[in-house]
Amino acid sequence: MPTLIKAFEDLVSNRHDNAIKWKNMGKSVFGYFCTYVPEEIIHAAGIIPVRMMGGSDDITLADVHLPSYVCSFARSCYDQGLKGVYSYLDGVIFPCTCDTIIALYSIWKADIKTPYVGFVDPLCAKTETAKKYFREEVARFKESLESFLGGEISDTSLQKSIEIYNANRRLLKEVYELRRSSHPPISGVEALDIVKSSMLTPKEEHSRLLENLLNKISERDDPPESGVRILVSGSVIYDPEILRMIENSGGLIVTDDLCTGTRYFWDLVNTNLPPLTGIADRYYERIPCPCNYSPERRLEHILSLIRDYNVEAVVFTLQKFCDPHLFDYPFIGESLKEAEISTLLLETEHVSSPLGPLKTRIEAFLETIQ
Amino acid sequence: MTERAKKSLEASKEVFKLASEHYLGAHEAKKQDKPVTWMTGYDPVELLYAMDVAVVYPENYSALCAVTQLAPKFIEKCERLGYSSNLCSYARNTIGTTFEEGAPLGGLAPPDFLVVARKFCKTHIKWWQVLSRRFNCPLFVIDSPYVTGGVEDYHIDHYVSQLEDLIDFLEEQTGRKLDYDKLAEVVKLSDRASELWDEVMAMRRNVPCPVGASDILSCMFAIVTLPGTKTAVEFYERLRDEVKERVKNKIGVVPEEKHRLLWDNIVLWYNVGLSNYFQKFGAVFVLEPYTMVWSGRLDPSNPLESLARKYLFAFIGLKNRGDAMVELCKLYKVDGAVMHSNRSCKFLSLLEYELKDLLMEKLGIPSLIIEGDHCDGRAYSDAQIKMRIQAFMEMLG
Amino acid sequence: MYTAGIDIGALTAKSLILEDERPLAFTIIPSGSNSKETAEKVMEATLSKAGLSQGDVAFTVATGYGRVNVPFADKQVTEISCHAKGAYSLFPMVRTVIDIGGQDSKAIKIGKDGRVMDFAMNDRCAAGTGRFLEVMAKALEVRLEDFGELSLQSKNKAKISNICTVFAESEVISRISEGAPKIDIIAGIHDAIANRVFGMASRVKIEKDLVMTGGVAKNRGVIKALEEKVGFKILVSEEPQIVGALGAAIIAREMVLKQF
Repeated sequence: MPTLIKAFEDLVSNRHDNAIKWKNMGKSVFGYFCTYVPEEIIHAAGIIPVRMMGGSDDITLADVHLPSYVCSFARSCYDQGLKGVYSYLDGVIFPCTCDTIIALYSIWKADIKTPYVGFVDPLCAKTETAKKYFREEVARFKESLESFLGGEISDTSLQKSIEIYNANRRLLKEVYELRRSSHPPISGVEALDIVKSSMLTPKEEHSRLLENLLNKISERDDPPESGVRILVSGSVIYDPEILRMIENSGGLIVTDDLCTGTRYFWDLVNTNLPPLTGIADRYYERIPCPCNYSPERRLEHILSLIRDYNVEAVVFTLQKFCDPHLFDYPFIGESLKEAEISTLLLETEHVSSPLGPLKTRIEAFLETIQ
Repeated sequence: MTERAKKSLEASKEVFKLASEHYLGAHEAKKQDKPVTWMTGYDPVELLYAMDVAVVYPENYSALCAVTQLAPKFIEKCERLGYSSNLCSYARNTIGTTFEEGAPLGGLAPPDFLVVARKFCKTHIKWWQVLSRRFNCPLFVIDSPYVTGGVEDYHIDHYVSQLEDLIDFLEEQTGRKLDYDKLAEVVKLSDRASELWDEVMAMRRNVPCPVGASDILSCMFAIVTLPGTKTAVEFYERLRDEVKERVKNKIGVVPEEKHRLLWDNIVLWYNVGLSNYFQKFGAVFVLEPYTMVWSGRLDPSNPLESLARKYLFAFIGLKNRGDAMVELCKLYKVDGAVMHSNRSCKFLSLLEYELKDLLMEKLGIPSLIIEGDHCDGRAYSDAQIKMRIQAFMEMLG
Repeated sequence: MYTAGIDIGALTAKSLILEDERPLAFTIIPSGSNSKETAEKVMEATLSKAGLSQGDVAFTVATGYGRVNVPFADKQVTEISCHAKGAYSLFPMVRTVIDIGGQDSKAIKIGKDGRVMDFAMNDRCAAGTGRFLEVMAKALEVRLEDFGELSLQSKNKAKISNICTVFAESEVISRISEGAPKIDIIAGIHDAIANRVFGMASRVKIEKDLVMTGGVAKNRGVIKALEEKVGFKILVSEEPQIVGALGAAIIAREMVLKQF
């Protein structure tokens, strides 16, 4: 059992080595900066999409072209790019999400020699006009890829990719469902690796691992210790240390509202629609990220998770300088307080930043709930 | 230690009155049960003026709060409500004024509905979402497509579709129908204001430069907030005439113009007098992308499409912005650039290090990057900023 | 012809007198709370060493944080120009200068002809300045002057992960109580300050020859840590603290000559 769980962790820690292995096998690898990028299209083109993640080493080169008031996720990715860690990428896609990533599109293009640098615009308005435009935008993205690759991406291959992606999403949800129980068989740290590894591995392979896990999970004899049932809300958690801290201080993370969590896989592509339309609509209508949309629907998602997963407290792990999340936070925080849910806000920085004070706050918070 | 900017023009003296009338006018409209909305600069306000909606501008208003040194109070209030101190200070200031007494000119008249276009930054959208919750009123978002390359037909078509949606929204909210003749009139006036603003900007290419940043920052009020009005046109006719006279008589901003500088980004509104310090070194700001960008020529016979072309912001990304900056520096005979690394404005600030390299590479022009904030002056250190400016001016020689 | 340079820093005040192109005498004293008095004191000391009076000096340039408070100065010029000028006179192949002072740090890019091409500064945050080292020396109960030599003995430097001086101090104290050897902690401290300075200096695109000036340049441990980051040897003059005043005096001389 431990080996099964560790497999997911390894996929995350060995992501760069794995990517190089795939490249050596003759495959193409594209990085993408956010879960609004329509992965199925990249997959249908025979390319392996990998989620860009921050690294664990000190950020030493980013200062050259990025000021200090930028989130550590962006700084770290850029730093890794400059250090050549991502030199294996054949392409990198930037979605128009937040001001930082939009700027990073230009900076990456200027400073790092990735052959294809793409741009996708998930919109901010919720209207028929916007929906129609996004479908066209996704079609343009597909054409741009076809033009770069010198080949067509057929509807059949799109359909196939949709099925593979939907299957992976269903499996991830099934794994999450296990955490509704009073004794969840996997911890939050493990769940994070399970989701992140899906973003870093060919989906077919990942789904096999998930199936295996689901088959064997009941045999687990070292499940996580129970604790205060926590929902974690934030964006990309590229370093699990803060989740580890929560789970070592008497908390147990049972679900989340994260880019590297439920927001990634919660919504399926509707296969009753033509494939490209289905893909576009799925990304347009999915659980919203603060970057684009108003927080009301996200709050609903959080409240329903709280209900279904019997959550006792919500911990916000928001990156310092992450404007979209920080604009939403007062509304979501207040709404949860009104619903009598305890909340804790942690502003996180890069790996190498002060952990001691955070630990104290987490411990104090959990004590008040137990 | 903050200073008022030393101004050279008579026209600049009119601006405070223009601004007061504008913001007080919105309160008047409210009293008369006329619709009021809040928009950002570079939104298609012509449509709203054509429908007789009073429009106020939180960004411009926050600049006013900063100039009058009142912003810290409102910013602090906003932070006490749980908003991070790293969010845009215009947003923090505005949100604060909706919860706290003492905002200048009676504060911003509460909106009946809200309109905002996503064109520069996502912050506008998040900020307007907060406002829409604060006032419990509907919000209309225009997605101005992000143009990182050239402007395509599909960009224009999409913007026009959204303008049509906006008209439906406004007709529903106001209970009025859009009068297309009125719209044509408003568009014509807006076009004229842009024409005049462009004329004034072009005259700054002269040596000596007849009008510097100090005056332009005041005089830009009308092009940002009043495009489509007679007031704006009349004001800019006076401004244009005054600047033309100065060009004719070769009157510059400083007795001896030694350096012609570009200023990039928004200014430090709580210390607009910083330009006075540059003038001590014989340096004049002849060019600011931030003040130039507001104008846009319109075609009254094709109002929606030309509004789309005007408001579709085509300077996203390093290529478009950088190329434009290089061309402008050549035209305006710039020999140094000062870039404000403005922690409240990631949209404008994040590319500055690249732009600095570009100006050096293409034109041999050195740049000074000054760290600051456009509206929140609490961390402002006059001595530190001036030391960097002095070092830069010593470098320019 | 005698010209003088005076550098009033937050922690130390320096003055230097040139006889034509040759340094004649210099003084370094701790800065008092009153810049004006400090300026007069440090200038007097150097004049005395040189056997001169103020009237013998043709031109005085003041620099540093307290430069506006030197009433007898003929001109005030920023430290950027002065450190560049001073470093260039000592090392004509210099292309980058890094100055870590008591309360700030700077990086200056210099062209082939000695002109300043670009600069970057940190004066907002104690980390990356002499203050950081002072705070740590106190926490470790070790003399700051011994920091350099001690850290060179370390074979296993500790990792100080906190960016903020105040939190880093707590981290250091924890390490001491955990029993980590002081030499390793000091090496870690030097690595931390080198990281900060390197990040700041990268903005001017570090190029050989790299010269370090300022008080912290006397610390061989910091030099070594920075050399590891830049990948080549760093040059330091015999008296790195006086480079600013030297540059100021040279600029004073240039200003006099320009008048002819």
